[in-house]
Amino acid sequence: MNPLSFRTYILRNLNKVIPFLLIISLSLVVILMSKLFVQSIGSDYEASTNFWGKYSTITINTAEFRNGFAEIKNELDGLSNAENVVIGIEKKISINTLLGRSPFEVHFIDQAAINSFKSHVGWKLIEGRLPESGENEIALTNEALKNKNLKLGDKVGSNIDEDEDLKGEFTVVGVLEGSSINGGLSSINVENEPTSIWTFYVQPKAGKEKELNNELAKVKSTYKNQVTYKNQEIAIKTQTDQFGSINQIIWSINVLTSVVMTMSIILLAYIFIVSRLKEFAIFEALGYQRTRIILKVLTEFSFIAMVAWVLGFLITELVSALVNYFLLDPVAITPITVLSLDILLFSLPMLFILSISMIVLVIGKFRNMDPISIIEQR
Amino acid sequence: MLIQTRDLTLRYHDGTRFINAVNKVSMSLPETGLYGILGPSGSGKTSLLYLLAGLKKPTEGQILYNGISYPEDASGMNYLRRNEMGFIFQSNFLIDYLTVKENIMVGSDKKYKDAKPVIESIAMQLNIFHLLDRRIDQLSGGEKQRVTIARALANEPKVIFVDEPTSSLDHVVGKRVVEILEKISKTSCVVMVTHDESNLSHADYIFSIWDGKIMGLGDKKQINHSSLTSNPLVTPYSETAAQLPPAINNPVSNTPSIGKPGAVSTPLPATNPMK
Repeated sequence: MNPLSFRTYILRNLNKVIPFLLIISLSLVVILMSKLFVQSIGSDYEASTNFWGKYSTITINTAEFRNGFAEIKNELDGLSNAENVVIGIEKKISINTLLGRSPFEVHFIDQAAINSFKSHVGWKLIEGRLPESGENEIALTNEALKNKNLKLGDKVGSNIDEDEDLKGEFTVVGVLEGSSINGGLSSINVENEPTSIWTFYVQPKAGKEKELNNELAKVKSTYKNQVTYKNQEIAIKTQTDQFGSINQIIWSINVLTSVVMTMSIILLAYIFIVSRLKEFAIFEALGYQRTRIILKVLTEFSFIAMVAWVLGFLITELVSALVNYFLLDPVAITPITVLSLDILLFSLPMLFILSISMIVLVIGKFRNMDPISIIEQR
Repeated sequence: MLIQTRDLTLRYHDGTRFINAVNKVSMSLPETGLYGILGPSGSGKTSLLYLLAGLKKPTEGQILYNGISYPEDASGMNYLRRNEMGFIFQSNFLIDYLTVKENIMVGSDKKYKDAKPVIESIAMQLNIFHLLDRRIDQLSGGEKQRVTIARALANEPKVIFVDEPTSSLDHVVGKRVVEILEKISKTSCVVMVTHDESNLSHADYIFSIWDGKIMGLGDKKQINHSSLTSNPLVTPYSETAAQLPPAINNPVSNTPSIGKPGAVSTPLPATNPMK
């Protein structure tokens, strides 16, 4: 074995290298896990906003303006960029997220339009049937069912769970699957619901989403607080506002953790180098080029960092699998996985900072190194 | 001459004043023989050794190797040190995680299979053949020192610099180490720094150093206490301070060098072929 080979040092000093390697790996695990949780929370929110890419909504706010139903409907029917206007009522259902219970929409849709609405949203009925109006029935996405630990025939609503936002008691009659993973669908007979707070689901013509939103913004400005206007952009903004502060806190912790861990690793590396100065001094005194010694040390560090990085990923994936199995899958929260380009890119800055720090540290230490002082033990 | 120095000076600042660790030393060392540098702690003997080995750069003066000035650049000096010189440090500076064999090979550019006959022969002579595959932390102090000697010899160097080789050894082991060095000096130039006169009982020449200056020299016949004190060329360090008035410090640079007179004044080549 070549005495100057980086492998020689690593293989002969596993008792020193392995703890160092594990510290880097576990630091990476902590950082990646926090990123994965943030990503999981974000993806749940993102999935919930998919619906608003299909429909924008105008909801009548005030009881006094219920009589304005016909007026607004006429106005919406006249929009040049609207393909279709579906009448319904928007209610809430609570599901569990990583941040606790969170409301998602259940759309009570006019019986006559429920089939086309379902298709346009991208939902497919995979089990049971669509709800009938006036029967307190509901169809939920399979994710929502799994999340709430429900099955076909079970009941949901405030009569079952007092914390539930969905008023009354609804029987699950259908299971949906599709692009918008959370929420559900129910049926309503517009004529039998004269006092409800109506929502108009406005479907844009193909490629005219932006134009339609401009038109709807004008409607909103006409009726001001009497209506609520929501499109995908607004939905995302709302979600971001709700999620934003938590996201910021997690990111702050993440950055702080990264800095502390990187500094700890650099400090450890410094001790690592200092404890080996005698060895480097011997090499130099025996006529080895300093650059060759520096390259040897950097190669050792690079190798340790690379192995630690891969190990960190593997441990993270293992932890993710356990978290998914025991925590997230049972409640249908978006599973976490480290095997994505996003995560790979996310981990690179730490590796980059670590590498740069190592290079600066090693070169700085070697630049000031006087082998004779070390040999003379001064 | 293998090594010649001319007005070799090493000066440093200790925070309050400049100190000449080595002061205008001119000396010559032939291809073979055991040459001692004798002096008390702080006399500058180790600094002189480091200068001769190219481990330190002189503030002033020159060192010639086979008539050619030492390379100015680190890579040239490293090349010279690795291929022509061996060094035995005061403490057994070995690399703990390597085996004896690997520690010996650290100083060599060769692959072990190419160097094997030489390494094994050296190991046999030093009685460490049976230790070749052991790790350093399994060796005794005497064994470690013999490994450092083996390492210094691995490249079959022309000159071996030895710094206080017995300081960390007991008397018996120390004596054995000195005997080995004496044997090596039959075919190579061995320069040994020590403050223990008994280590130099078989030295060919001894340079007595005091306050960075060569105060005297003598051959092996003169290395006994009575001759040291009576010979004007060799000034025993233990008496130097008492005997020398301050004015005597200046002529030291004119101390005759070993070898042909005037050898150190040979004009230096304009370019350095070592580079």
